[in-house]
Amino acid sequence: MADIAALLPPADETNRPYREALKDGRLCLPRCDACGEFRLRASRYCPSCGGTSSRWEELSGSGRLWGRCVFHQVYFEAFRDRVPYGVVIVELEEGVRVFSNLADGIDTMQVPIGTALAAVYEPVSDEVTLLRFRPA
Amino acid sequence: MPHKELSGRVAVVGVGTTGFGKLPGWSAEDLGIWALDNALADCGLGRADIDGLIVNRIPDYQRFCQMTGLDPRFVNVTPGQGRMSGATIQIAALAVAAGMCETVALVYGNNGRTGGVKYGGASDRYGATAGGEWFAYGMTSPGAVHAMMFDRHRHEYGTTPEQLAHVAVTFREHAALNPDAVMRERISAEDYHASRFIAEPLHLFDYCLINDGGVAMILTTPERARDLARPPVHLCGFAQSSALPTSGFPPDDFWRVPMGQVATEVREMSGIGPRDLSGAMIYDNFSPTVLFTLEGFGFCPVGESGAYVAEGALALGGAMPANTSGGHLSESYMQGWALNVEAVRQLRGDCGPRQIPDAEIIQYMCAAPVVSAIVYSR
Repeated sequence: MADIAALLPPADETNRPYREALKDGRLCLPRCDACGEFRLRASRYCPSCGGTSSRWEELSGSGRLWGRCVFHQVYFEAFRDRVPYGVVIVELEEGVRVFSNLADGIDTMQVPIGTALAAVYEPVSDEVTLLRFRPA
Repeated sequence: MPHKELSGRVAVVGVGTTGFGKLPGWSAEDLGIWALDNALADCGLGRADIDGLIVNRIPDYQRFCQMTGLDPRFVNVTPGQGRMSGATIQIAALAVAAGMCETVALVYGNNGRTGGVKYGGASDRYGATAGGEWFAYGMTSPGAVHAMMFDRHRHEYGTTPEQLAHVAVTFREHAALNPDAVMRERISAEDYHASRFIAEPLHLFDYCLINDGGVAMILTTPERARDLARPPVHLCGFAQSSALPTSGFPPDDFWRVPMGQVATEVREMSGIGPRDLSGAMIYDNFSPTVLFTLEGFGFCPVGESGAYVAEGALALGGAMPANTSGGHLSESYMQGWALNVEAVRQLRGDCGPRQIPDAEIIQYMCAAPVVSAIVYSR
């Protein structure tokens, strides 16, 4: 699955703490010190309030299934032998959304929108662990 | 909202299109020039009469002027995204109404099919999925975003794939009557359901057709329009809105809030609402967008767009004939531009077997992170 890991953009200071935490089985994101909103990657300014101070904090990993689709088209060579595969949007209980997959063996279209989900940390290479979900 | 007194202050006087399809050897600029020459011939003007220029999808206005000898007072270039066609026409109208130029050419050229442009995969530049942050999860492409939105619509309102099929089947029926359309072979609901999934629940026929082609429009004042070859088509209402801060993910409301704002503003500016229209041109990058647009602009109640299209509303002879050219799904994905040209051609009565009888007023609408609408009238 190293071919999948290679699809990630290069690690940098905006995403490295997130990726390192996933390898430890934890979900961490930058949180604004001023308004408390989480965001998906580090940035100088908070998109919600313009605040300039934030810190990495751990999230619960709990959320709900917001949306689903199943890819039949091959857009990446790494997925050629994996189609059809599901992609979901998960709304975490802290309000942040992520694109993700349900864990291996789960038929995406059989899991209803709104289902409570819990994070699953799936290593795809020595360096990369992905954030996936299973019904809670 | 735009000032009411701008209503009717600008007219489309010339439109031009190229052939659509696979056109190897034609650059985006070449395709734009082909369309521009057709638009100029349409209204009886020459290149020297053009004192305003906005290019779209053509990357470089400077090179374009070097290639054409166009010498505009007012010049601009807008991003090559379909949501920008309506917005670009509005900028042009404002420039003419403000006197920054008198006669503006809008020139679009797209060689994406020959150039192998893909909207999914490593070259993905769509707002929600660009940058590659989600590629490792297999997530890419605007089509997949719209597949998820349709899945949500199905979940919230019980909209069915059988209802959605009417959009693609109806627009193909229209394309069969349009000699310029790339896909003219009629399809049945059975053909639709038998076609392969791309991003399930969307099928192949829910996707627009990437092609090479060009489109040009010439806008000027009603006074200048009186001297020209073809009857003017007036912009009597236009507005835009957006939903950008949260556009990294599909919207909860199918863009209903910005569409509602735009619908109100064009109605106040033009005095025209959905019931006054002879037809509609609906930005159809993917067929579910048509459903969202019908609800957002008040053609049917929220959640009832599936039933509305299943009643045959969008067909020629239906309650609201839409995308009479075949639209992006069957004519060609000219990113909104050719739909605006089709509105003009309908209002001139130029559409032959696909003509809406006595067409008087047609509204163009685009539902996307940037929403726009334009009401055209004879």
